[in-house]
Amino acid sequence: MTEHYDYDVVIVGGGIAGALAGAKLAAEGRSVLILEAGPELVHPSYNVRKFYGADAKVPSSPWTTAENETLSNGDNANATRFVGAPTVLDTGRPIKKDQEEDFYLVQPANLSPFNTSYERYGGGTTNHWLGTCLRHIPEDLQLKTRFDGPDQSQETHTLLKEARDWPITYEELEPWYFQAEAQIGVSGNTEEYKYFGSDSPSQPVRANPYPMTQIPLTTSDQRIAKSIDGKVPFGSVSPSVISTPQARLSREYPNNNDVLTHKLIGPSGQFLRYRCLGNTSCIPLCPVQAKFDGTVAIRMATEPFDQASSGEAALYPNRREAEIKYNAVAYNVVVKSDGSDNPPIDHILYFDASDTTAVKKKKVTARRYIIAAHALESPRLLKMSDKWTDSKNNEHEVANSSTWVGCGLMDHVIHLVWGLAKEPLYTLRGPLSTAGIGDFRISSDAADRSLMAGFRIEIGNDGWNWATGAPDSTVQQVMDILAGTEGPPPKFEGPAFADGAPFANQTTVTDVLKTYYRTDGTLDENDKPTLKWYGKDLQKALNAVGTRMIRMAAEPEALPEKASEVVVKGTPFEDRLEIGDSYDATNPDANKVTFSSVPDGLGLPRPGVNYKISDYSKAGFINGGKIVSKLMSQICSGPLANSIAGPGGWAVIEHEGKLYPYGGAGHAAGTYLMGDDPSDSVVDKNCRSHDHPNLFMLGSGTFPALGTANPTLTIAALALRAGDYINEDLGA
Amino acid sequence: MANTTATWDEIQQIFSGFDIGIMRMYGYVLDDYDSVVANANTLFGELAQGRMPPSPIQPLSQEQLQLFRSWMQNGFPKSAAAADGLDDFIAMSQFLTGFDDTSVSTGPARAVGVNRAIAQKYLDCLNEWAEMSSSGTGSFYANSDPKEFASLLKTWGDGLEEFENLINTDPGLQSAARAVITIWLTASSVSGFGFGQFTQATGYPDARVWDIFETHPMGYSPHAWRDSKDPKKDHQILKETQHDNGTPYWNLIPTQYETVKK
Repeated sequence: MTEHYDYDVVIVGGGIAGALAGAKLAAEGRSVLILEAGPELVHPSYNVRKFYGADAKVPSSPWTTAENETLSNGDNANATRFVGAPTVLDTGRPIKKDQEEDFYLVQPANLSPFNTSYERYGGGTTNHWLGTCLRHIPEDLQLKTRFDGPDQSQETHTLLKEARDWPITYEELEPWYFQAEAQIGVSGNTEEYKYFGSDSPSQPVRANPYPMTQIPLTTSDQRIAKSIDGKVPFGSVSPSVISTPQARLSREYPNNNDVLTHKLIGPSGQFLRYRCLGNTSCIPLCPVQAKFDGTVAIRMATEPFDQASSGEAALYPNRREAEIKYNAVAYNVVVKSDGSDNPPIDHILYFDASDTTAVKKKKVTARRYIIAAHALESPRLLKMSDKWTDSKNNEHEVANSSTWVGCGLMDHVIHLVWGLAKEPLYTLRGPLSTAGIGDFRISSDAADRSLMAGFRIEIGNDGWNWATGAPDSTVQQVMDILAGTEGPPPKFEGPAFADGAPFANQTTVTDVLKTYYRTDGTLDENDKPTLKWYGKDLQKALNAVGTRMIRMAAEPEALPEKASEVVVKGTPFEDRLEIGDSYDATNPDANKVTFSSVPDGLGLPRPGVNYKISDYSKAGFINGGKIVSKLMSQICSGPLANSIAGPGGWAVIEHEGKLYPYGGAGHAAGTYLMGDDPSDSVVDKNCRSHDHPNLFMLGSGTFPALGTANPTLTIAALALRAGDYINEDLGA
Repeated sequence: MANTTATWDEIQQIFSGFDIGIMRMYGYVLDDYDSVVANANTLFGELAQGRMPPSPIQPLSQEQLQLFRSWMQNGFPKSAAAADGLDDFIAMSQFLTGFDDTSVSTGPARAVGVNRAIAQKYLDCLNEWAEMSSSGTGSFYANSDPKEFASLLKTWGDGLEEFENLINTDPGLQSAARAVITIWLTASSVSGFGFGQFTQATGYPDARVWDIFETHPMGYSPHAWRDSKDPKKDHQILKETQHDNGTPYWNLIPTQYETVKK
């Protein structure tokens, strides 16, 4: 008798990975259900209003849900929201022992803060991504072989002992990179990237041009390029500014020709999306949705083709729209215990949490299961789930016979450097970033990847917004200087392990501004202001700063250390409900469930992290900071600063007795590593679990190393590839 | 119930910055009084039927539609009579911010206080925050320290020389003056916090620091739309042309601040 399944494929997570894989499978005629823990978001144009009204304009500030946030648990604090998520306001703080449980993400005080947030809404964290669509380069995928080979020194081996090669080659990935660029809609400069990172000058790394021509560089990028291109040598490398491929439309896309040429898998062209208009709010949101985000991917998976204007219907005659359930929180991936060492997943239990006072328990079965719930939430889900027993009666967490689930947590640790340019650069006009410097991604005598992490430099077009909270903070700082009322420099209160060590560069905004104002005549030789702190004088002083503020960031690659891990905090949530029963998540004494001791808004245990930054990354971080500072000196007058405003400013890397602040990139990765060896990896090159043949895992959690590229394009490429593989695997 | 005192200032608050931008692409110039009056009937029909703003942007609420209708029925009044102290507050704000060129009613260099509804809102906020900071109650707004806001406003009436002297010598008055500058420049308090719903509609896009930085509020790009004489044509251009066919607006170096810089 044929076994009955509710769906061909159930996907946990409606972010870019889950939704694109879902769109691919739906296009091939598979029945697909996406379980999205968060609520549905409305079109970003409407979220603009909430963004304007937010007290702190952080990446998580603008989201307006279709239900208008009525789901939240009263106080709307992130720790207790019905599906919690960390924001930049509760990561990276100097969290004291007794404060650990005040935040959604529970972090111990004696380790480096994990300084990265994510979103749990329909569309996931790409709702607030920048849109950078870089590919990894061949070096990124073969770190072990190329830089930790048998003829390397002990020093090299010590630094690279955690390095792994990807189980997939660049050549295998290349067509899927292009697929991802086409499905997302990437604008890029093909000439600049045709050979970028190639092992041979005659071997292109791109088989096809970008689907759209590049977004024009901003004025600041053009002026910076003029100042530094080929003029600032580092060993044999004289870096130059290179455009950044971006998931932003540079024209109306896709047209019917694009649909047919690229075999687009979903109706992505019929929504209110314009070409990039330079709203300068890419993080957190693009009001005209020129920036692709996960909600577009969801529509590609779930909405019908527009027959009148689309050629897509003819391409996929068997397509069935995927279903999506919002506020559907998977909490137990249940293994069919059959005594074997490779038992399948039997079903997934989830809570329908659309009403937090009556959270309903539900069950769903499928022929294949995909977990794509983010690098922190996916391992949390597996670790919350019921354990299974192998043929030797050993008990394992789901997909975790390797003991590597949750391990290898990575992020790009950002080294920000900021200052005032010699000439106006007019940042804050146009997209938040249109260019960077790629030369240090490739191993050289300036950034030797056998000794330190390679890195990319992002050139920000956000002025000092990330660094100091400009422009609001700038108004106060300039008034202080002109009125002579500036207070003492801020007191840095580092985490426990860093107490006592000095900051490497504690330059304050005041230092930077005063140096400029002395040469500009705003301050006399005794630092007495020559301008008033109000009126047109204030405008003049602010204008001089506001049009010159600039920052760059080095983003060094990361390695997966086993001790850098995601864990589940608190006692387990005890579930004695039957399918269809419900409980009141607003009441900890709810019938038939026992809340965890560290509960989220549904009573489930919260995720915790023990985050470690590898020495290899730290070496790249320090080298990156030095190189960025030298480049910035070329375009800036006066001192440079590298502190960061707000809670993230307390995260520091110690190097030779000094402290350097780091930022998080939002690139959480590496918690269910991809590899050939089931003893030290969680999934294989097709993203299939080594333990459970019908379980697949998508997202940056699979990355065996977080290379020199931002992760999202690789996430998308692997998701599309896995979608294709799963379709084949399901058979006719 | 219809608001019988609706004025143009309040009508402008109905439309968020983005609605103004996107509706320009459909031919409605919502930040221009004459244009809205000339097209009011058609516009109201489109708004009421939910055709504008275009889907999937949220349509106007019934209250907002009622406000618009009452404004039409009352003959499109421009401004309400000045509330107590409002004219003084606007004049003082123009002096403190330097945005005092009343001959420029729109565009980046427009004067402070042209939209009297915003001015009234800011006046109310500062009065409220002054009470909070002097009584030590309230939350983060108390940190904005405009304790002596009432005295500041009173001092304005004593003549410019005395006013300037006092804001430079009396720390309390200086704090209050800084709160006035801050609210106009950043639509928030000195401690950096905004004030919710109102900000969403008008305050944030109207913050003058963006003009000083020679840019636009984040999330509110449309220089290209707002300066155009032919929004419908813009819409076509935006839909149909590629970026490499021309220089995007963000690379046009602005000139409005040449006089300020000198």
